[in-house]
Amino acid sequence: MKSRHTLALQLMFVIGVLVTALWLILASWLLYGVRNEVRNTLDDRLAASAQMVASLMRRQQLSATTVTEIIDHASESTPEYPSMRACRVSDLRGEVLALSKGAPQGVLESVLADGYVNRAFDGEVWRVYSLTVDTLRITTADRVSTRESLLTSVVLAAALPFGLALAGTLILLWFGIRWGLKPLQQLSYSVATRDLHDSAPLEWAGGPAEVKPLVDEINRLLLRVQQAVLRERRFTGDAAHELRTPLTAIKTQLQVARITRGTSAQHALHQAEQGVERLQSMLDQLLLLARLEGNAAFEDAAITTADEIGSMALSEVISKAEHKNVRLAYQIGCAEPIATPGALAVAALRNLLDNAIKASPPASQVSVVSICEHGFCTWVIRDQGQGVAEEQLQQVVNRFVHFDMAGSGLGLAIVQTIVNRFGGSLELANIAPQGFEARLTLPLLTD
Amino acid sequence: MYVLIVEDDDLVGDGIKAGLEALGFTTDWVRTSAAADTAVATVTHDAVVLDLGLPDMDGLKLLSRWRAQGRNLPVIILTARDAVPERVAGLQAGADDYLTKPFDLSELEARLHSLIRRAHGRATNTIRYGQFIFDPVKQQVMVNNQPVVLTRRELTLLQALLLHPGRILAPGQLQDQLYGWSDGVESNAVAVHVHNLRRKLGEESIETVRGVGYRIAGLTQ
Repeated sequence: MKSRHTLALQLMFVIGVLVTALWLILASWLLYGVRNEVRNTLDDRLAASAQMVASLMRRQQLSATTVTEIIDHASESTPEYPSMRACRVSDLRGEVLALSKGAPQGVLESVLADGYVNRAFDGEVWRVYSLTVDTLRITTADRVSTRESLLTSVVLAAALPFGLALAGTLILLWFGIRWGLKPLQQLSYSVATRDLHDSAPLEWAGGPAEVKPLVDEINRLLLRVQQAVLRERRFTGDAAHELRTPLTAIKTQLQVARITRGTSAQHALHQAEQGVERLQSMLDQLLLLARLEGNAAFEDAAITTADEIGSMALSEVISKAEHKNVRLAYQIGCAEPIATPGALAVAALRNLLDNAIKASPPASQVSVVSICEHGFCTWVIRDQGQGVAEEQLQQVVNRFVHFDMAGSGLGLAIVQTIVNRFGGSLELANIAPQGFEARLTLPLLTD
Repeated sequence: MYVLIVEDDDLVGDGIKAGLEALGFTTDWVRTSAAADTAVATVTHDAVVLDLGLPDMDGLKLLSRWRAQGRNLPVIILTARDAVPERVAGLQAGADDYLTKPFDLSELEARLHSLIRRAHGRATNTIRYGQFIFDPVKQQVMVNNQPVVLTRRELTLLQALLLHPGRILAPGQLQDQLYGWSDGVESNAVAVHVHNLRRKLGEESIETVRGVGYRIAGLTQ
């Protein structure tokens, strides 16, 4: 996992580039200034030399030979400060009065205007200064290459500490970033080495406040994941229990049938068959629930009306009701099509009717009334049973919660899932003086 | 051997009862922990088969309560949940053994025999007393190394007496062992079976203690 260092590298890159760019701009600005300053200083020296020669010649009436000696001396005496390399003194007609040793004639002669000019001669560039005083023209010149090497040594002397300081800044920056990101690294380490069942929240007591919201969110997520894991574990435990119980019944009864004879064996086989039926209905319910939750498509081309759904659901439970001597009363009242796939609407209504019949005492009545209004169809199913304890009303829609042995505990969970998915509702309530009422509401099909 | 079955599921309970009875056990079957409590307080069972998911009280709580009350009868728990913590909790609550559903009847039978044997401090299933050798698994009895043919009721009665040698068992207790609790039977049924046993095993094999009950005699001839 290299990505742990990405933030540090990214910060280092951005800040490093910005700092370096800033330093380089500053450096070139300084360089530019120094360069100009050095040039001006050297130019001033060139001019000062010319003026010195001029004043010497004028005030003290020195001979040209003496002047030549002086300018030779001046140009040679300080070779490490080679500001002036050549000098010529002439009259206005161009007659040379004095010329420094080794001075290039071509550079110094025939300069007419006073001031600075660059001249190329013999493959070298010279900086030339001319000054006219009375009848004398004094011309001085420097090699530009000499000037440049001086400039370069000045720049180099300044650049070394500058570069060291930049490198030092970048190194300090890197350590600073690493130090600043240390809490994050520790956090990621503690997340990476975390035990799957550890429900303790992540610690962020001393860390930067900017990251606190993230840590809080992670902690909230951890809590939700823990709860989901617990729920899943409970669900698989419940599912195992509910599937194994009929399986146990079948296995045990079959073994009894093998070791007994006659009516006992017949009874055991009959019981085993009942176990198979229970297992089958449990599996059907579980698969339906899984399909509902898996968002599987329910292909149901035929549009089904509320009354058709009612009669289909009733036809599935009528034998159970007769078996228990429970009268089913269905009041037709709605021929409008339902938006929910017919098979699911029938399953929901059938599950509610199943529960009502199971809860009914013998020789009682289960009534179903369908009401269509405001774009919804509501089936009201009432039985005359004992109802459900108020404190258990909230739990009955949970999976595997059941109050009788034969139930899977999935019936109401399926109804709840169907109404949730198709925009309906399920309301359960005890009714006075005795009985239970379930209201199943599903949206009508609108054009 | 007399076993109490505590199982709330109709099909499973019916199966265990029918199966164990076919294998020579006498059984009582109750569906709730309240009924189990009453049964344990009223009748002396040799072992209990206890389902954990009971409607009124968790089987583990019931078991813990029995153990706290000093009821030491062997208990084998049945559970449809196979998670290890569940089993550990069961054994810690005082269960002597556990079986995961679905199970084999033969395994339940073997474990019940082994539990009852251990509860009576025997190393093998066979009960030896005096001249008697009783094999509860094969449901066979030998007297002086000769097999004796007994009916199922007679075997059950002899086994009950042999499991508690030296103790006097009241006719009511023996009747429970024969028919299970609260089964309506004629009150002289025990006397009839004792009579038949004496006829087959010898008059002095079962001792009558007047006004109290019956006791196995060593047959020390």
